[in-house]
Amino acid sequence: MFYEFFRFELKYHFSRISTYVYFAIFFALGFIAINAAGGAFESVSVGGSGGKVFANAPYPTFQLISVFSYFGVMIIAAIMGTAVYRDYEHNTHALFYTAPISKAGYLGGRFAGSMLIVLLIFTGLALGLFLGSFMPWLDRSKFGSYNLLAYIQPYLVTVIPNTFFIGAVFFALATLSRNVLATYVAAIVLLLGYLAAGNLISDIENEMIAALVDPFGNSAVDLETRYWTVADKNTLLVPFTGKILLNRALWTAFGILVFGAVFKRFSFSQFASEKKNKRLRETEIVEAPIQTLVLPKVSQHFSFKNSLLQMFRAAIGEFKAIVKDMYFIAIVVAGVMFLFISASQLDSLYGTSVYPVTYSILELTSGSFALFLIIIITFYAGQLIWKEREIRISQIYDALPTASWMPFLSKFLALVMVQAVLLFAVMLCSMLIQAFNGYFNFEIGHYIQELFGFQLLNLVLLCALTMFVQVMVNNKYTGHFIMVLYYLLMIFLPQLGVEHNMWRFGADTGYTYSDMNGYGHFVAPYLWFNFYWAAFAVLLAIVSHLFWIRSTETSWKARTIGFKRRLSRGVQTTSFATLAVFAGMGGYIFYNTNVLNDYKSSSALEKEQVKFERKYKKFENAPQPRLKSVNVNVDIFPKELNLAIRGKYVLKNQTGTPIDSLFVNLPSEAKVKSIKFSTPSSLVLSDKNLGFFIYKLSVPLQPNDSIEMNFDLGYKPDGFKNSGINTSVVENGTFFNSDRMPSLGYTSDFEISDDDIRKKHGLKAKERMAPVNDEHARRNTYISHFADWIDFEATVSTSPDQIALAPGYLQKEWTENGRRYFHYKMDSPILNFYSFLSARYEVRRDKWNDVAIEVYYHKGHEYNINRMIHAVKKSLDYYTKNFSPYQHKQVRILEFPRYASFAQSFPNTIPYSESIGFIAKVDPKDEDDIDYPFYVTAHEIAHQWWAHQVIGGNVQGATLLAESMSQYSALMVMEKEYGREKIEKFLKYELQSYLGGRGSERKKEVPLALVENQQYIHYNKGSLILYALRDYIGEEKLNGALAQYINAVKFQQPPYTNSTEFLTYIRSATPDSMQYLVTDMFEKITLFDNKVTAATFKKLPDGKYAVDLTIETQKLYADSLGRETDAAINDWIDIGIFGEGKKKELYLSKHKIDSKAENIRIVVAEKPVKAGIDPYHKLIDRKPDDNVKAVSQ
Amino acid sequence: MELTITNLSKTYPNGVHALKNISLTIPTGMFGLLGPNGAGKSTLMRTIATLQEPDSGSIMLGAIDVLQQKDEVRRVLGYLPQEFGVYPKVSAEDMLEHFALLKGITNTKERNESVKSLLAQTNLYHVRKKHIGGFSGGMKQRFGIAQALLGNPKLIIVDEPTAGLDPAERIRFHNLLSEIGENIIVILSTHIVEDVSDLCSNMAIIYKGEVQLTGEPLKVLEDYKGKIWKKIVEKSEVEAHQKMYPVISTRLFAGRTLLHVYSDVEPDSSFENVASTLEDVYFATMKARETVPQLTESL
Repeated sequence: MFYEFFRFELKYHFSRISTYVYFAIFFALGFIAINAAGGAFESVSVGGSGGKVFANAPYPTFQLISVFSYFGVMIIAAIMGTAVYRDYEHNTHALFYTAPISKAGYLGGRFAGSMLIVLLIFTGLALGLFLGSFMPWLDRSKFGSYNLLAYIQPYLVTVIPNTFFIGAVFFALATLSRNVLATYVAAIVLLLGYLAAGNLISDIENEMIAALVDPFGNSAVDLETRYWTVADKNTLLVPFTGKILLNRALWTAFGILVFGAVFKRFSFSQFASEKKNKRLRETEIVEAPIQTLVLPKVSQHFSFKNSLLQMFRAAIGEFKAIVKDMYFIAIVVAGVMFLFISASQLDSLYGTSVYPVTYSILELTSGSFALFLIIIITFYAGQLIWKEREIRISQIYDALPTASWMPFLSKFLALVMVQAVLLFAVMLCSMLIQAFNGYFNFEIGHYIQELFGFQLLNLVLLCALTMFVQVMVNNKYTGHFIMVLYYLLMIFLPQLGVEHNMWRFGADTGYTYSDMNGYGHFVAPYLWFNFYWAAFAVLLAIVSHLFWIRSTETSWKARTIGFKRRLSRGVQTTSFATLAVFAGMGGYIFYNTNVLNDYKSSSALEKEQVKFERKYKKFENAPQPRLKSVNVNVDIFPKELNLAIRGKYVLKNQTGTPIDSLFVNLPSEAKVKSIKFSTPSSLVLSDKNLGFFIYKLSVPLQPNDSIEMNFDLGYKPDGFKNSGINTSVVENGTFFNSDRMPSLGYTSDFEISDDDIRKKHGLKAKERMAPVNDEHARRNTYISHFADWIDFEATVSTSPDQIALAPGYLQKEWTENGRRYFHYKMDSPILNFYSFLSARYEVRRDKWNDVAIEVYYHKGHEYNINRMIHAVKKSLDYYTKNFSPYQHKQVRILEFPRYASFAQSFPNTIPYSESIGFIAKVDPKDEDDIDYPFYVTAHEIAHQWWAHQVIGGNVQGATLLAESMSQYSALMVMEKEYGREKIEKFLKYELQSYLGGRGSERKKEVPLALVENQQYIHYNKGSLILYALRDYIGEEKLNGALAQYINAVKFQQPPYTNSTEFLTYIRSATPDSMQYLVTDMFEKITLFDNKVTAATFKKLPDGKYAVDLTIETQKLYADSLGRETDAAINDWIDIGIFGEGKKKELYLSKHKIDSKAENIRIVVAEKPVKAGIDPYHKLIDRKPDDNVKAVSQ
Repeated sequence: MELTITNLSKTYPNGVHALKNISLTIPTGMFGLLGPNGAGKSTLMRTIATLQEPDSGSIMLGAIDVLQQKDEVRRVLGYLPQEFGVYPKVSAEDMLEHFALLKGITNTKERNESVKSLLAQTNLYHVRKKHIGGFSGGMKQRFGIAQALLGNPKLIIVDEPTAGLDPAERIRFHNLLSEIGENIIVILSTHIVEDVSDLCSNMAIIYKGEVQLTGEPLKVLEDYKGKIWKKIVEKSEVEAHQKMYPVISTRLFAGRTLLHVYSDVEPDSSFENVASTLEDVYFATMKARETVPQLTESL
């Protein structure tokens, strides 16, 4: 019996064209994906391959098959959801259910048969990936050896369990509810779980929940593979253990449960019966009528005004029908739930959240709701278009004397009204979240502008497109599918080279709201693009109207007749007028983006970089003078977004040979008014496009002679660009740095660094940085290639309501010609690295000894000013005491808009983004909260030492000296303030980021001492290593060595220091027994796998406790791709025993561990609770959780 | 006003020749369009109701060119399609009110009165607040008539309205149709002979896309008077009789077969003359179409 149904089900699907179409789609997806990964298209990267990860490696193969199979949920719904429901829909159930068939055979056969079909369809993915990888045009160097298991195992881990349990849910819902819409709702609930898991994962505490709650298993896989290195990704199969096994077991069990439930609940007799309906019946006796029907006399009106009235009334009717629909309500409830789940992770850093200011809450809520809006538009556009036809009332409607544009427009309007209502719901939820967080500054105006201005406009465009597609294809499901393809296409179009917003429907320049600058100058281009697309949407609406089906015939021939009939003079005029508006706006946009501005696609930009390298690299080693002093006049015009820079450089020939040619680099957007030298010169090469100029001096500059360079540059923006709206000069919150100034000589900074791209352009692979001991490279700091220490002076002017700032001390402030001027001068030489800011600032002032502390902030952002000032004081305390004196008499923190989210340390000047720290909500009572405004401030202050006193040469390891040391310094300040426990929590995130960063490495991982400006190494690993080093050799010893080092190298002239020199100081402070540690920490990539396998205790007669531990230790050295080799252990590692109460230390001491497994007995005075090896995670261990174990008797 | 259909033809993309050069003149009053399923009735109805395009031919409603001036037709049209669904959760009153607005009755008072009066006259007033989804077949069809009567229709098209109704429901529905004034054109398409014989002052029989017969039912019956003969035979004899006589219909009667034969004279003495009914006309017409070489086909 089972076999009969099973076979019938297979036969049924094999006879359907859709089965083959689905298979073909998945095959094509796989085929295209592997071709993209294999370099068939321009700069497309998929599925985590790329760099050194092979396109056909197990990890990307797993990712691609898994992720694409998620799209297949729709197919599971279509095939497995309808396996039994189909009989009801087609009214064949009565035939089946009266036949002598068994329930198990019927349900089981249908379920198993349909599941097999779905799985066969999914095999298209693996086949596409596999066969696609052999195409002759692919770059074979991107492919490694094949592992057939890599193609099979994603099915075992992801596809088969998912198909089983999702299919069971759909099968059950459709069978029992006899309503296929129930599966849609289930699909959305699954999506919710997937999204929620992705959201929860950002907090370390929630990882286990995230791993389990994700019905697709994606989060569990991410968690198990997040620390995978390149080598792991190339060789390892995703393991079927740990969180993955748990997740899969959980959801498979759930699927079995659901299938069991449907088996129990289902009965043929119930299912066969009609749904209960109480029809009204008439029973009175009928007699022949004796009178004629009197039709009421009415007047009918058919004016345009009347049609409008009908349209609005119909729209309201449609709108009401949607919002009352239970499936609509279900989708919205799911969306709102997701919104609140995401709100719990409100923009947090290190687990500490921010104040829910309106822009941040809006980004969160409308961002998390956007997907649901898209689902609703896609789904309900189809419902609306098909409503009358599905209910079979369309013939009545179509024969009514209504205008033919009326139905489309009313339905479109209804869909837009639904969007407006949803956005209103988003607004209410946002304010609720704000209120829950104790934030009551409701900026209604901002909400309305964002939601009902910007967002609604964009949604209206989407509504128009979706309705258009539904009308044109005249098949609801095809329409849905086309929209899904559309969304995918929109994601990939830029990567396929279609970048201009004029070619991508609904694309615009985007916008960023900042409390400081509002929507600023983003508004105008945003509106231009959106009105341009709105005109296009009107054209779509007109075409939809012309092809609208108001007939029982739906062939294209019949539709063409309707088209011709409706193409009236009026419609023609409107179409041409709209076309003219569309073209006119397009013209204006094109004029702005491509005429006033240089439009460059990313591949064009790439080519420019290539050209720059090819043409000018030959000048790399040409002798150039060094910059000795800078004196600039900077005029900032905030309203006009304009900037004028006039400046004087003093350049000195410090080489042994005369210099006759000067190579000047300028940003390409700079407009050069003049560049003059104190010696007559001629411009012999002027490459404005690449910003490269060569001046020939009439009299060569002799060794040790100086020359003045005077320049006058303008940075007035012309119109707007297609992308990359300039955010450095803005109405309120200007911030730019010395990048805007001319530089001298060829710099390799502009060269393409990605080896894959270099190869494509025929350039040789390139090292990221010069070797640590490269004497030539050490002639420059890693900050500037043509300057050492400079004298700095600047006069900055701005509008009278703003304060303008630059490094140095204020000499004079005055107003002239309605502009406010500030003259700053630095009293000691600084690096060639300075910034200018201007905004309407509030100022808070304080003092630490003789050092003035000033915080310039945006009114309303007072929350953390005191924390910052406190951090400045504590930092100055610690650094002056332990390192060296502070070189300046002032510390200034300056807020700038959130167009960038970093803080950056310039001499006595620290620009600090409004998004990191100014609105942080640090709860002093919450012991998990990390005071990151304090921490970031301490880090930036530390840079006044580690960068502005000690600066490394432009070689490997330079950022160890700047960033890692600033991390260490800040950690020490924070530890003094908040205690060790906070640091431990902080370091958990650092460990996670470091291990995760290794997995994203595209080139090579290097030991800390050779770091090549890799953030996961110099920040995250740096924190871990230096904090541990402090623990091993002691704070005093380490700081002593650091102080010696600083004194030896601060403000030095070339050659600049490097990490090799730094390590000699560290080594001299390290006892012989610990020297191995310096090697492991700085010169090797060292990983540990420490764990406790057994922990027991015995009470001794003297009242003490003997604890017996069995520990296992493994030390590994990894190479640059993450290939590991076993290292001999002879290491000092912490052994700790903890008692009752929060982490009460009963014992903590370093033991020399010299074998992989050891038994240790320790006697403690109190009753032990937990014990372990390296309990404070000082060593880098990928599984820190197994280091400590509860002790049993 | 008259509805004039001239040389109307339609072939569907799948090759079905639904209308073959149909010409008809339909005066005011109830006009019955009788034909079996698939005869082309619905195609014709939908074409008149502006929902379909013919390949050739013309339809004039008085001075209105139905095929070109669709908007004008719709303003005077009441249409009850062969099969229609309803929104399950909308009340009869609300639905009718909605249709009234779409028919251009913008005056709220007029609209309300019109809706109430139509619901009363279709005997649905007592259930006006009920969801149409719960209506019985007959009530639903009456609602369909109510919506068709909204406004000031001059042409009402009712396509197969009685299919599926039980006898009492059908009578109620006939009563309702019979009350519609004589000065409106009402086209009733049906495959049920009683619908026509009960209600229509004019009729046409359509079969295989062609008009086989037109006229007033009474006059038509007159033509058949004394020409219908019956005989009850055993089942085994049916085939032989069909070969010998112009049998127009056979039906079972008490386990044997009742034959009706169309003949100007008594076929033989075993036959008995019966009063002709419209049904006999119907069957005779179709039978004639079956046996006569298809002359019109080539035209």
